[in-house]
Amino acid sequence: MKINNRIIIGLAIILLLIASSYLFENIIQETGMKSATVIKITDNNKTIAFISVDVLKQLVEENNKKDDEGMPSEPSLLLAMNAAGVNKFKQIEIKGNGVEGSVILNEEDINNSLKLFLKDNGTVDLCRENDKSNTIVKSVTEINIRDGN
Amino acid sequence: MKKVKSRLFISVLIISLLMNSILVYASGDGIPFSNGTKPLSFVSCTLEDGTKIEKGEEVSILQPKFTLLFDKNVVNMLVWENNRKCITMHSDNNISVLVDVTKIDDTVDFDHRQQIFVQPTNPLEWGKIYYINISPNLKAKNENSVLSDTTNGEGITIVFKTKNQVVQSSTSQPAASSQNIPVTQEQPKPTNSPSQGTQNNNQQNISNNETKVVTSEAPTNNSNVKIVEKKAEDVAEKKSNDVAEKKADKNTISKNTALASSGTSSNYILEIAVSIIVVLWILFEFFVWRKNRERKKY
Repeated sequence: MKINNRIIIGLAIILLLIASSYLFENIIQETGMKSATVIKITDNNKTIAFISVDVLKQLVEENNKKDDEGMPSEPSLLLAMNAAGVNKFKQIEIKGNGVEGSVILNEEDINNSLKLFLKDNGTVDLCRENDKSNTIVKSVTEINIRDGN
Repeated sequence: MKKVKSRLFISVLIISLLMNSILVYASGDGIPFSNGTKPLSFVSCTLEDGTKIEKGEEVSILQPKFTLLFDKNVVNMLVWENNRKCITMHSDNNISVLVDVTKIDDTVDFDHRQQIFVQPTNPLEWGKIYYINISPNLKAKNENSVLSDTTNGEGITIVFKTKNQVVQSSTSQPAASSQNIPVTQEQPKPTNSPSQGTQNNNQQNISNNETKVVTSEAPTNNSNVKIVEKKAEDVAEKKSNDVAEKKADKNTISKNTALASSGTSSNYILEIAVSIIVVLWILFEFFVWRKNRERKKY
């Protein structure tokens, strides 16, 4: 094989590796969002963050460290939003994969009692604290902030 | 066979070196080959137009957006709640200024993971000195690197000054004073008290009609401008403080910057192009060296 051919093949392999790594990342993200293991956070329909169940677990651990609480609690909706950098909002729309579809919550409705319950299959349900059975949104896929400015 | 082995070894070495630097870069531990290894360091503070703020530079806009650059990931979700509270602003008379501390999340745009954006919520006052304080507790993504490690346990203070407002005579522009834009009116040269000139440095931009500070005396008759009265100043200050307090109650320190998810493609292309150039260069050097060696043999 000629040297030039080898160079071309080598470069093609490197390019292929780079392209496939980006593709792989995108596929993982898309599948995660479809299966509701990754939650997309948008501000007026522009994506501002992706939050996975693992990150939520870590956030809870961090929070518990600070609060010196023995029992780990579920992450609140506010905690997840703050971590994504959202602090101002008038209204949020929470979309899910379940039959409940989406729900719209106003600023005054949102407090620390709204929890994101982490399930064994890696998805998250939105419920009120101490009322796990009454799911508001099942398998949350997207949190859309409205009028975040 | 030996040749093939050595070539294979060199290729693997080159690729692994490249991959290593890419992996370090991707993990958010810092800029590859930068001297800042473990500790978190502050790099720079710039304005949107690229002006560096280092030694009390003058800023010509009242709501400047500063970009604080660090050498590590400081916007990750795990540390953001801590980090956004680490940045505050106050004026020279120690009055705290409400600021929007924002980020571009690293899950959406990895290139801005070392940047924190700071912008005053309300317009600042003309001709005043302001301080941006960065707490020593600012953390990097790894949660072990803290800013205090590189600042001897102290925080960082960035000083800047807003430009002095030039007040112009309003005979030719009587209508301008009625608008909400920061109107500049030429101020008559101080005749009696030299302190009069400085009194005019007030919050004009936030002034709706109710908090109007500069009043011109009969604009059609006289070119002289009445400078801010002390009472009006106090009222305006009180009102702005009230607004600030209300906002603080609602925990509205942070505002998120909306961004298009496709905004990073140009950076990726650049990174790929640089990697290709480096690989090509290494290959070129290698083949030149081999040719020379073969020539020497014959």
